[in-house]
Amino acid sequence: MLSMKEKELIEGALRDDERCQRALFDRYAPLLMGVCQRYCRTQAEAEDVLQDTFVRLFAKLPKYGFQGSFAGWARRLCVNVALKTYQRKRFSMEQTGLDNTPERGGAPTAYADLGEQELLQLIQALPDGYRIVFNLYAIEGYSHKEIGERLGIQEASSRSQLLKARKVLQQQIAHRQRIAI
Amino acid sequence: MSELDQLFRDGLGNRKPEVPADLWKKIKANKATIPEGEALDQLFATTLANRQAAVPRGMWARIVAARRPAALRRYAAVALLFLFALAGGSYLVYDSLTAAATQGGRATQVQTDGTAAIVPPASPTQDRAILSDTADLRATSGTTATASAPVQSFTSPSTEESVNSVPPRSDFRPQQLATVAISTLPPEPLLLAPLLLTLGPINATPEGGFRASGRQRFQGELVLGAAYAHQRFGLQAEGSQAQRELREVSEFPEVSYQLSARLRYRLGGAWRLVTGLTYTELRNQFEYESMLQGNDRLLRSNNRLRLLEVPLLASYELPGRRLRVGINAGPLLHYTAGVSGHYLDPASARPRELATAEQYRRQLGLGWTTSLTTTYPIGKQRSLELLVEPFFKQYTGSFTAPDAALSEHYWMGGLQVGLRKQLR
Repeated sequence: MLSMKEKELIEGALRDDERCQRALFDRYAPLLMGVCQRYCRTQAEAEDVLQDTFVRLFAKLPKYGFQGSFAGWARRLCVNVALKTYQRKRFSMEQTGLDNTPERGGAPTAYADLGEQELLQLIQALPDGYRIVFNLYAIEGYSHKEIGERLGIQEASSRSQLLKARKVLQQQIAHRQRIAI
Repeated sequence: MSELDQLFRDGLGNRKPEVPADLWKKIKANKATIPEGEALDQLFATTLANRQAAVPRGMWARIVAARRPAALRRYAAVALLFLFALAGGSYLVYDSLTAAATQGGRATQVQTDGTAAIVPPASPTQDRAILSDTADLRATSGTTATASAPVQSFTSPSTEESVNSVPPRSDFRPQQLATVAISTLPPEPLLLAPLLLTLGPINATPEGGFRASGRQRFQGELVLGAAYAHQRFGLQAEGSQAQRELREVSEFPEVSYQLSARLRYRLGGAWRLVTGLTYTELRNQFEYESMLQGNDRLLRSNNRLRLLEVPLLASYELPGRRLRVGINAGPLLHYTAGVSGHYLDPASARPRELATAEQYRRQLGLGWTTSLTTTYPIGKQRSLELLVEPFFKQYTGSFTAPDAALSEHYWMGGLQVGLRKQLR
């Protein structure tokens, strides 16, 4: 259920009222930036995706229709933009594998001390395919079937990517922990 | 036990050294097994699903800037639609005129001194015969006809035979005959019709002959247009990259415009020479965020570059009936008459004024322009023509002085409309 204030802001943004658009941006940009950072490897990429998300959000606002949570709608839009960005880069799931795993980095941290920033770094260090499938399945809650449809891959490929992503994450956590202790 | 042993036993035997504060934590962490499968997913999901991150400064300005081209695309789409509509309309008009001319060829009534003379339905051979009749009449009138030579050169031998077989129609006045001849041309021998029209206006002299009009070579035009002016910065001094980046994100094109008074001189054939005076205003919107009473506020103002231009264009007019299309191209001389507005400079906390920064040169420059003019006559006399003209122009040099940090270049594309008047 939308709060009255939020509904007024969306209606204002639909009328091209720049103050309302700015207010919507101020309200949802931090949340969407968090989403962008999970899907992108670098801060610069995340900023580009956030920019594209808001450009598309204001363009598609008439289609929102006040159905469901605005935050959820904006978040789905943001995920779509992030996926399209990687598809534009000719992202290919088959080209990713354990061999492409980047060098383990980050400060040594015990598992119990892993915070937001450390977990984000672990996700960002994953190869593109692993990162996207892990985000979609583990954090957004999509099924393998939905992921397959969105990315144009087989369900089995999605499962395989997820298992490999988990394995890499475990290895990374264990590695950091060994260094810390 | 020696005294030495006793010394150490007393000194260190019951010593309780300090234990590192995080030792137990480390032991616990080492003992904890790293989660697997769904538990690992859960660890990431609970921590990161609703995580809010810091939004970089200036992101809103980037979004506003990125949304702006959509408006320009709308303008371009409207202009394109307008051109399509114009082209479609002109096709329909041309089509209907051609159809009317074909029908008129079957039964045309010509008023002669208040009485009606009916021209019989004409076949292509007879049409040419009528044209040749006009040539005969001209020959009998004894005047020189500039228009007659090309007409005769396109007359085939079979036509000449038919000319001999058709009796002279001396009761027709030359102007009426010309009207009949041109209007009764069937659409097939279009090779002939455009040639006739490119000869320029054919005037009937009081003596009854024809000649190409020696007067009426000048036409005046008044044109007003809106355009998109594309601004591009180049680096002229070392370390000016930051200034270029600042200006690129703070200045955005607005609708620019130009007003022209032009003179058009008819050369031989389809060629024309066009010159005149154009006032052009290149406009950009300047935006920056300023901290006012603790809040960021987006401030906007307009930047303007005012130019006076003298174009010298060669124009080639394609044949047509009422609707005519001309292609123009040529150089232009421009003078920067003034500049106003603001710009951001990394060395200054406040925006600087363009006019006082003495970055812009006030001198002559060169450019080139090209355009496509479509005209349609209006009014009974047809001395006035409506004019629609998409145009493009580029200023070759920079608008800034050589010692300025950045060079500033422009090209411009737009659409202008206006009126053309025959001058006597």
